[in-house]
Amino acid sequence: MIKVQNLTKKYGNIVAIDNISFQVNKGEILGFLGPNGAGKTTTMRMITGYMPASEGRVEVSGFDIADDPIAAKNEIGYLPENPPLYDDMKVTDFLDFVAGIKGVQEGRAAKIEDSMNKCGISDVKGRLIGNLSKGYRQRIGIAQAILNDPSVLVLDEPTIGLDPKQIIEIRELIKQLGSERTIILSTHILPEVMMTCSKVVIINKGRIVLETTLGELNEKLDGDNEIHLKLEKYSSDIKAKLSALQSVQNVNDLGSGEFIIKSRQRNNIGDEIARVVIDNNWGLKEIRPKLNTLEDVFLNVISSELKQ
Amino acid sequence: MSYFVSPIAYIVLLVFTVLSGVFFFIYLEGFAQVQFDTRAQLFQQSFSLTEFVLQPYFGTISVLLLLIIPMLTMRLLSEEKKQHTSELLFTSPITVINIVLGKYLAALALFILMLLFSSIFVIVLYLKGNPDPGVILSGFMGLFLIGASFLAVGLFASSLSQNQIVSAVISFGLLLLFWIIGASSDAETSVVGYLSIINHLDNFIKGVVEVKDLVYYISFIFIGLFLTHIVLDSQRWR
Repeated sequence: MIKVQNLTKKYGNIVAIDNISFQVNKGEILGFLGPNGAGKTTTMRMITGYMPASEGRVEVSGFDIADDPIAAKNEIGYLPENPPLYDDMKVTDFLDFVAGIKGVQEGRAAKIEDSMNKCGISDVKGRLIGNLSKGYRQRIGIAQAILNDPSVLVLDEPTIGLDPKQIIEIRELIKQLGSERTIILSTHILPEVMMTCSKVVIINKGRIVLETTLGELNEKLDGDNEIHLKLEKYSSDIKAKLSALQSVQNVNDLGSGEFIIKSRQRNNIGDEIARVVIDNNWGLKEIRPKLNTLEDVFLNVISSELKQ
Repeated sequence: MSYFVSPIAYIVLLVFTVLSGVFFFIYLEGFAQVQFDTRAQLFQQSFSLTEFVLQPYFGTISVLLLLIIPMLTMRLLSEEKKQHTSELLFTSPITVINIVLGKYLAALALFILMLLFSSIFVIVLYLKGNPDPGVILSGFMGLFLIGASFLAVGLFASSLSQNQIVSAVISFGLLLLFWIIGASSDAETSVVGYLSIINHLDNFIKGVVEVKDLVYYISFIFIGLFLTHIVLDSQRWR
């Protein structure tokens, strides 16, 4: 469990993190979103005890990071923005070193082996870290974080630099780990949040602008019952005919045969529109519900924040 | 912590051992020449190995350490910040004291190895000749203490900068400063003279072990490590 209360970070007069509070329970994966410079990394650094907070408290599995740092840090596995690796060590030597400073005594070799297998780096275990590619380095960083089987994982952009197959593997791994742990992950890839997280916090300029569960988020994404229509033929009277339909509120002509049709009520008007299209032989190419993407929600939240 | 997996350790060891060996044989050759110089024999002076080989050898090693140790310590902490591994260290369940001591002891281990290698020549001399064993022991003790003090200064310097070269320059500058303040005229008695890092070595090389010299080196090491601790701890607040 991670409990963040009124966390604030000031650099001189600049307030980098402004009084944020949230809680992540066991078994939850929190997606931490925000534009560059929003304060994601700073927040994670304060949670992991790398940086002290100016004000506020962070509690990790019941231990206060400021009052009881050693006990709290024992519970945390942390993958920083840049994986912390010693380039002149071999992979196994490095993980052995990490096991040492994390105080792993029992079954050390087995734990190292296990985390290498989980992250798919067993095939490079005898190689120098400095000679490995970004994808491997990133996965060594993850292996390092999960090595001592921590109850809390803090992952700063875990899938960056990985190829599509590895991304899927790592997401699976995170989901799997999340079932009995508490995980915070920050990311720029919005679909990643949909796929892995159960909770979302969006921050901008050091403040929380949206805190929601995945279910609520899905409702927002369901959009306003709009239909995207693409036709082969294009004439000016199409818009007029579509608008004449009873259940249609308005039609937005995007040009070259593409239309966005908004329904009056929150119900599916696909049948009705398709019938009109077919009756008139407009050459149907595509009809689909227009969903809000997470990008839309994200931009909405952030731009409404700007207006205030 | 990672000294012995990196090639740097082995290169430093090799260069140090070769250089100290060369100096050793230069002194030995000089001794041999004086020994068989007939004019010198006329004065019926006794020439001891201790005076002509060992003592200058110890002095030379202390100079070598002045040059080599900044290179050994420069990356101890500078690299941590650059490679982002400081994030790993500071978020691990260890204290800043653990980090400082871990770094220091790793460097100290390599330095002890260097001293052991350079003692090979002296051991050969001891087996074949008649140098004073007391001077050998006190000399190496002095070298150990002065080297350990250099390491503490170097560690402190490397905590100050993210750039290895800057760290090396800072530690070399500090060491040289502590070295030359002993050169003032009344060095024997003044406070400045007591501060000089090299004045305290002289006694050890002569075979004299005094409490004031021990206290000096031990407090020197302690202050170096303490300052490093302060720097590391305060950096987290920035």
